[in-house]
Amino acid sequence: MTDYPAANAPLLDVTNLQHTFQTGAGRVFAVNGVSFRIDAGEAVGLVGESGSGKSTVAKCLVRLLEPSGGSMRFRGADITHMNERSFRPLRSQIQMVFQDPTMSLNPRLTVRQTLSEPLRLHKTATNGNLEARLHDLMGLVNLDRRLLGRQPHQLSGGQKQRVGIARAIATNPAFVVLDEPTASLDMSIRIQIISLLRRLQDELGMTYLFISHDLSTVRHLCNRVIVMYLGQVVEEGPVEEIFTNPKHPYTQALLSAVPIPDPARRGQRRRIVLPGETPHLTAPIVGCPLADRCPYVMPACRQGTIPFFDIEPGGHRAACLLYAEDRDAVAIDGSAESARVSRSEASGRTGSD
Amino acid sequence: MAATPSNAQAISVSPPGSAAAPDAAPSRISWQARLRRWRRTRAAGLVGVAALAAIVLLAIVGPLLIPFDPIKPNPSVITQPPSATHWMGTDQYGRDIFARVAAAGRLDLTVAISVTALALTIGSLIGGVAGYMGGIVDDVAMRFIDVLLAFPAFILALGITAMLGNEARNVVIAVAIAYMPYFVRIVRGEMLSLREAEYAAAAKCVGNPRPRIMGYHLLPNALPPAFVQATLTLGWGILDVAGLSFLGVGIKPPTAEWGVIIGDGAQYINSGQWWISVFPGLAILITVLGFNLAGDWVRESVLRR
Repeated sequence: MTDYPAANAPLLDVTNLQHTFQTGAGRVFAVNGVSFRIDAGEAVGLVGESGSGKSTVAKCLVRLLEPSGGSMRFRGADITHMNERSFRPLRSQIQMVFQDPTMSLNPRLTVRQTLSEPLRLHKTATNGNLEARLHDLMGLVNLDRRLLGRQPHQLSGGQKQRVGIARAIATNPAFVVLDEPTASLDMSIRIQIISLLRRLQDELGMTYLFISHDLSTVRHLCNRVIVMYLGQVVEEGPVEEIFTNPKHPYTQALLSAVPIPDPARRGQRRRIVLPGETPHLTAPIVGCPLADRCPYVMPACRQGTIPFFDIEPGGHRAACLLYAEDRDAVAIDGSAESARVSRSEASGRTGSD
Repeated sequence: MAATPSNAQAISVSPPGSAAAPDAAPSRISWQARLRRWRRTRAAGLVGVAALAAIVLLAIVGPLLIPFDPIKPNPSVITQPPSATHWMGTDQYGRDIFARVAAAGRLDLTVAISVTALALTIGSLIGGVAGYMGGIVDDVAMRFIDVLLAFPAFILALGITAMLGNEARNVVIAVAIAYMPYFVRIVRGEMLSLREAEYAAAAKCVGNPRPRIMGYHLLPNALPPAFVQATLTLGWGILDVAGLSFLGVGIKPPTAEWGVIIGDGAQYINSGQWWISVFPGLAILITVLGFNLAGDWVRESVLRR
């Protein structure tokens, strides 16, 4: 990979990240060679189904997990295997909001104690202005400052997640990983939290990596999307591009599962159902992770590593041989009749075979 | 131990619609069942608390009510049965049993509390560190605890006092060492699950050093089950201290201690002077029962959270 000069380096540069878990049943290859870059000010969505490795990527980024391979650079500095002592100062810059605030807030601590911790540990506030800073934080996340004395069990789910967000932004981090922050909340609260996150990004200039399997919230919050499947990135691009013009068969299937609020429009879309189950990641995948379930599978899909092909100049690219420059070089498995039709629909090209 | 209600484990699954409150703590036992169960243990618990209150009152106020010294022999009133003057009679040296039982109450309660505090503190620290660190630290600590657990607590305490010499301080240390392993295991077990808790991960993300995550974030949450164990240890501690003293390896005579007094009277029971041993025996019974009933109540209250 190219070495970027520190001055105009992206905020975060992840290259070929890998993580394997050792379990009783053997090794699980949760993340297999994930690469992406995030520039300052972006809000990037990381989507994929459960088990696609998106949370594992998040935990590697905040160093809750040790990557088994690849590299992660934050502002040009290699943080891949940095020890905890050296990484601790950087923690004020890289924060995380957890999925379930009920689990991620210490049940014994008051809101005041929870929020004071990052401020004290990183000396963001001194004893003199601690209380003022706490009030600021509560204001930023739209919480009444009287709640500072409460314990988590005295708060509602939405209030708890606001505390979780306040904890994450307490030290003015440059980069915040949002690990499905709305997954455990009601729909009405979910919208409030997403709006809050948007506003905070505007006001504080933070960069987000928003992990979610809820595509509509991703569309609302993010300007770029990375789609993961079985521990690999299959497609990435600007949010509107991905949503209106998905290219990878997996992305197409994923988007076709998004509920449509208007009942009248429901019949107009074809729901793409991929056959089979998500396989277990007990061995490294050769070729495309979707090969066994893809309606357009070709023999070449099961070999080597599938490279990314640029779809549009705006950074939209997909790891799918359907979009290879030299398409005649890859033989297409002609068995799937219906697949061919929808492929031409989906790709906007006429079938070449 | 007090009997637990037979249907205490009755589990009722709440209907799917009842999960309306999004932040309701996940629970399998319905709150009504919990309340019923709590009320039942509460009744027993109140009896226990009343029993303990009576013993504490006896220990604090008792010596003030009567003019007799618990230690000084009085040859003129040897082995007298209970009477208006000597409410619990006198022993073979003419000492007033009520005075001795009350004075012994002060000693035994103090010793029991010291034993429990010591075992709780040291046991929780060892268990907390072992459970949080895991690996070799955990292995070494747990094998050491296994060795201690291989002996019955009482036999272990007996051996340690015999080794250290039988002073009150050494008895406390010995009994505390004998009960410490239970605290180690309980807190370690809690710690093993708590260290995987998401708020431990969140604490790390915020920038907490490991010792602070362990001591500040996790250990306080690992302690409630240890407090339940502590209420039981208070009772067992009294039994063991009295037992050691009865055997002559605990508190030394002529100090007023329940086990010592029972030992004094043991040889007189056959000849009809029952009161010397029976009254301190009742004191032990009431105290241990009180601690157990109150302990069950505490456990229910802790689990209710």
